[in-house]
Amino acid sequence: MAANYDGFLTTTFDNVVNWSRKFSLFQYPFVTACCGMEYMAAACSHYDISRFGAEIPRFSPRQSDVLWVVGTITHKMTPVLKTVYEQMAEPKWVIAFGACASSGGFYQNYSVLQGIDRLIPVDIYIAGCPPRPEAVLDGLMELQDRIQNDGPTVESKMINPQAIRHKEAKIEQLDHYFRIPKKEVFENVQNPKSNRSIKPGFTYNQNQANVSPNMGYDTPKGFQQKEALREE
Amino acid sequence: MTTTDSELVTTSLLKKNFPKSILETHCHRGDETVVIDRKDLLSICEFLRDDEGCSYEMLVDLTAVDLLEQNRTPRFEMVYHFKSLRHGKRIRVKVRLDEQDCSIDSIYHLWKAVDWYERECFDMYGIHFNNHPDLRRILMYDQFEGHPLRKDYPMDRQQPIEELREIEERYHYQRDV
Repeated sequence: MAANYDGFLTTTFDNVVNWSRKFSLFQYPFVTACCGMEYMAAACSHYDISRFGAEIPRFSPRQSDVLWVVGTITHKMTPVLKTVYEQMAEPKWVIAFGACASSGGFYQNYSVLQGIDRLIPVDIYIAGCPPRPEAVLDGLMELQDRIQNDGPTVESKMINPQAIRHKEAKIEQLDHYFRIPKKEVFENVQNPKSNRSIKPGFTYNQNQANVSPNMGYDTPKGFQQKEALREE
Repeated sequence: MTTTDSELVTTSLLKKNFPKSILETHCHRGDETVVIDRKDLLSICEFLRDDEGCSYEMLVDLTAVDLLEQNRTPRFEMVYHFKSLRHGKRIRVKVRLDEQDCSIDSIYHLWKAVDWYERECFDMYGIHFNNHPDLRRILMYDQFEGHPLRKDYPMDRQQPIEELREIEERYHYQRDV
C-alpha cells in the first residue's frame, strides 16, 4: 500500500484512518460472569492490554468502539445487551469472550442464550473457559488486523489468510484429540430408569457436531428438525 | 454413632404435641427430619419457633423437590430447614403436596426471610403460597411460560424475549473418522 520517496510517505486515506482506529480502541466491558476475572487479568499491568492501544474501559456505550461480551448471557439479559449495542456509535466491533458468549458453553438449558451471535453480529470469538490472557491478546490482535485490512465497511464473512492458516492448524490439533465415532446416541445417562416418554439425547453426524443450528429454540424449523431426529 | 430417642428432643416434642399430623420421622447424625401434614404447617412452624425446647429462630432454606421421575404419588415435596441458635440444632421439615392442588400456606408472618424463597419456589416449581404478600416471579421474566425446574419441562426448551437471528452457518470443525 505504502511507498517511500526520499522522506515522503504516500498511502491511502483509508489506511491511515484504519491505522489510527486500531490503536485507539475504547472498550466497553460487558462483564457478566467468571470470564471477567480473566478480562481483568488481561487488562492489568501483568499482561497490559494498553500496549495495544485498548487501554481505557469506557462505561458508556456512546464513547466506546469495542464491545467485549464477557461471560454468560441469559435471555433475561438480551434486551440490555441489544440496547448497549445499539447505543454504540459507528464504527463498532464486538468480541465474544469465552465459551459462553460464543456458543452458550455448557449451559444448554431454559435460561441461557446459545451464543450472542443470535442477537448481535460478532467479529471475533475467543475460545476458552475462561480464555487465558494470551488468548485474549491474540483475539485483540486479530481484531486489529481486521480493522487495518478490512476497514470499517467489513464484509462479515471475510477472513484473512493468516486466520485461515491458524484455523487449519487448529483443526488438525482438534482432530487429533477429539475423535467422535460415526453415529452415537447418548440417552439419558444421568437417570437410566427415567420413564419420560421422550428421552433427551444428542445425535452426532459424521460432519456436524450439533444436530442442527436451530437446536434448543422454539422456531418452527427447529421443531421440525428435532421431531424428525427423534423419530429416527 | 446411633442416636437414641431421648436425644431427639424436637421430634419427641412434636410427637407429643401433634400426634396426628406427624407422618414420618427420620434422623441422621443428630439432624432430625419430620414429615408433616399440610394442614398443620402453620401451627407446627409456630410451635417450632416459639416453644422453649425448640426455639428455631432462623429459617435457613426453603425449597421443593419434584418426584415425578420416581413415580411418587404426592408429586412435590416442600423442604424447610430451620436452625436454632440457642440450642445449636437444625431440623428439616417436609410437606408433601399433590400435583392437582399444589398450594401451601405461606409462613411469611413467622419468618420474614421466607419472602424471596417462596417467590423463587413459585417461579421454579409453580407452587402457590397462600397469603404471601407479593407472589410474583423472581428470577424468570414475566413472559416466561411454565416452571423450568419441573421435571416435565422440556430439557432444551428456551423462550427468547428478543427476536433472534437465524444463523446461516456457524463454523463446525470437520471431523473425519
